Amino acid sequence: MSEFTTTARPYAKAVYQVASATKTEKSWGDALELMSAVVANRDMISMLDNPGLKKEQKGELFLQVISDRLSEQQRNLARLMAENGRLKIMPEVAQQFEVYRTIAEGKIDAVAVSAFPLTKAQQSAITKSLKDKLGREVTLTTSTDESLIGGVVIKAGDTIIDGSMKAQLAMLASALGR
Amino acid sequence: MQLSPSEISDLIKSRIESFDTRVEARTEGTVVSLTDGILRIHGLADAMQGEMIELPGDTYAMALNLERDSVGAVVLGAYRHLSEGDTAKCTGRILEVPVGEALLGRVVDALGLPIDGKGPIDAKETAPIEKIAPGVIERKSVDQPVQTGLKSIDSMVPIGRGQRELIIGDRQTGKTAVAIDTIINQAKSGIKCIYVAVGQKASTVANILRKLEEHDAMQHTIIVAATAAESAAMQYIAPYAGCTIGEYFRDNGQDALIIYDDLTKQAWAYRQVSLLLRRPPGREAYPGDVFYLHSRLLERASRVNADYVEQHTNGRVKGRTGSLTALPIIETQDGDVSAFVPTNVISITDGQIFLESDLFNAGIRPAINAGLSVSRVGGAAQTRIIKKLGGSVRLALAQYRELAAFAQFASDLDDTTRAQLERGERVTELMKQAQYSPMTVAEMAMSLYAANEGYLDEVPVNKIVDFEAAMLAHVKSTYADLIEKINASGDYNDEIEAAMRAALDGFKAKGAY
Repeated sequence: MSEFTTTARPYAKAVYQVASATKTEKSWGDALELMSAVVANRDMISMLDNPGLKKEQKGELFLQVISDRLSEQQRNLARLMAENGRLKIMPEVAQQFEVYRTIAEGKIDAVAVSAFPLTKAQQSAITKSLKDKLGREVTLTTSTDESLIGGVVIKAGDTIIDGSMKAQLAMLASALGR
Repeated sequence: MQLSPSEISDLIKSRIESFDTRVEARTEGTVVSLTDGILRIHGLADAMQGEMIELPGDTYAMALNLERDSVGAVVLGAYRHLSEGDTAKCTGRILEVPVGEALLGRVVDALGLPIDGKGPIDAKETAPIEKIAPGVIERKSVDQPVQTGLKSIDSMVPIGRGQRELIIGDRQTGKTAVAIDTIINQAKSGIKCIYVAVGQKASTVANILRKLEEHDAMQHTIIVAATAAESAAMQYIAPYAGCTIGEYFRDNGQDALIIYDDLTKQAWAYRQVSLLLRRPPGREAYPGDVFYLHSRLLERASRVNADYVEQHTNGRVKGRTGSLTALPIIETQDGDVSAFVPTNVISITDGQIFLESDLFNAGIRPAINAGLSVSRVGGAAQTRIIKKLGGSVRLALAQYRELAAFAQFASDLDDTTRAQLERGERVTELMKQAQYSPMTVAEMAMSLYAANEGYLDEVPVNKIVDFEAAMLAHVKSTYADLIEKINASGDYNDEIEAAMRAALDGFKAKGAY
C-alpha cells in the first residue's frame, strides 16, 4: 500500500546508507529479505498483532527466530523497528532497499513479453536499445503470452513500451468506435 | 437518416488508412483504491497536474493530487466497471475539448462530446481546458457594448465586450432569464454565445434549449451541460471546458459571450472532490483554493488586442480585436451576499446585477435592484444615445428610493417632491420588460426619452406598460427611418433629438393607448 511506502522510505534510505558505507549491500539485502519472510509468517503476524505483548517483547521474540543469522547492526534495525511498532512494513523496506541498490548500481530490470519466444539476437537488440533509452544497465527477462498475437511489450519499472498487435487492435477499435 | 453501406465502408477504410500505429513509451500504474470516484494510483511517477489518465473501458481520469508515492485522480464519468488492481496509463496530455465553429448549435458535455443526438462533431482542433489568461500587454480596454436587450440593464448597468458581470440573486429571481434574453438578443450582433449549465436539472437544460431554438438563437449558441446527474468532477470542469470553447472565438478575432449557470454549484462540486481527495477544508468546508477556482476562470474572460489575435492566428486574422464576455451566475441563500462564494465572485468580477425576490414578487421583472447593481467598466462601452438618456433614469430612481421611504410618513408633500415621486413610480414601471422580448437600441432610446422629457407624467402608473407598447408600435410604423438611423449609428445629437420629440408629439396627439 502506498501509505506503507511513505513510512518505509526513511528506514530503507538509512539502511542503504549504512550498507553502502560499510560495503555490505549484499548481506543487508539478504537480511532484509529474510526478515520480510519471517514477518509474513502467519504465527508471526498474530504475535505482532497481539496487544498483550510489549513492543520490546515483540522485538525479542522476532529476533529469537533468526538472531543467529543477523549481524549486530541488523539486529539493531529489528529492535528499532519493533520499538516504533513498524516491524510489519519490513517487506516494503526490503523492496525499497532494492530500488536504492539498483539505482546506485545503475541497473534496471526489464521484462519483455512477446507472442513468440524471442531469439538471442532480438533479445540483445532490445537490451541495447533499452540501454540507450534509459541510460542504465538493463537485465532483461523474457516470457511469452500468445494473447498478444504479435509484437512485444517491454516493462521497465513504471515505463511500458507496448508494441503488441493486441494493443494496436484495441487502439483501432476505440478510434473506429468514436 | 439513411445510411449508405458504401459510404460507411469508405469511411472505415479511410480511417484505417489514416490510423496512426505509433508505439509510445508510457508510464503505467496500478489502481490502489477507488472510493466515490476518487482513484489512488500507485506508480505514474511522471504524471502531470491535470493530466488525463487512461483507464480500462475507454474511461479517463484527471490527476489532481500528485504525491510522492501515489497519484490522486478523479474519474470523469461512470466508474462502476473499475476496480482495485486495474492498470492506469499516463497519456501525456492535459484534459482537452474540441473547439471551433462546428460546435455552434450543439449541446455538449463537459468533455466536449455531443449529447444532443445530432451525430459526431466535426471539430478540427482541440484545446486544453486549463489555460493561462492573456497577460497585461495582450489586452485592450473594454469599449464596445454587449446589448442585452433589457432596457434596465443596458441603461443602468451596461456591459462591455470582454467584461465580467456577475448576475447574483436568490433562487427564482430570474437570473437565468436575464442570461437567456441576452443570448437571444445576440442573433444580429454576431456575438457567439456559450451557455454552461452546471448542476442543473436535465429538464431545465432541455427547456432552455427549446426556448433558444424557438427564438432562432441556437445557431450562434453552444450549450455545455454538466447536469445534476453527472459526477462532481464533470460539474467542476464544465466551466473551464466552456471557457476554452469560448476562447477559440476570442483568439480568432471574434466576440463571444459565456454564461456560467451557476458557479455556486461548481464550487459545491469542487468542494466535494476536494474533500474526497482529503484536502484540508476551510471556511464553509471549501478548500483553500476556492478563490483561485473562480479567479482563474473569470480572468480568462477578456478583450485582447489585434496583435494578440494576429499572433494567435499566424497572421490569418489582421486588425481585429477579440473578446470573451463572461456573465457568471451566483445563487445566494436568502439574500445573503456576504457568504463565502458570493463575496469572492463579487470581488473578482467587474460589477454585478443584483436581483431581489421582493422586487420579483412585487411584479418588477427583471427584478433588478438599481441601487446595488453596478458596472465598473461598462460605462465606457455604452452606446452614446443610451448613455445620454440612461443617466437621468438612474438618477430619477435613486431619488425616488430615497423619497419613497420618507414619503410613507409625510402627509403633506411639496410639489417638487411629489413630482420626483411620480416620476420615480413611472420610471420603475417603465423598466419592467417581458421575458424573451429584447429591445433594440432605438426602442430603448424612445422609451427613455419619453420618461426623461415628461411624456409619461400624465399617464396613469398602471397604463405605462400599455403606453410604451403603443408608442413603440406607432413610432416603428410611422418613423421607421428614425429607428433605423438610431440603430445604425447609436449617435445622439440635436437633429435626432428633434426627430424623437416630433415622433413622441405625434403619438401623443393621437392619444391612442
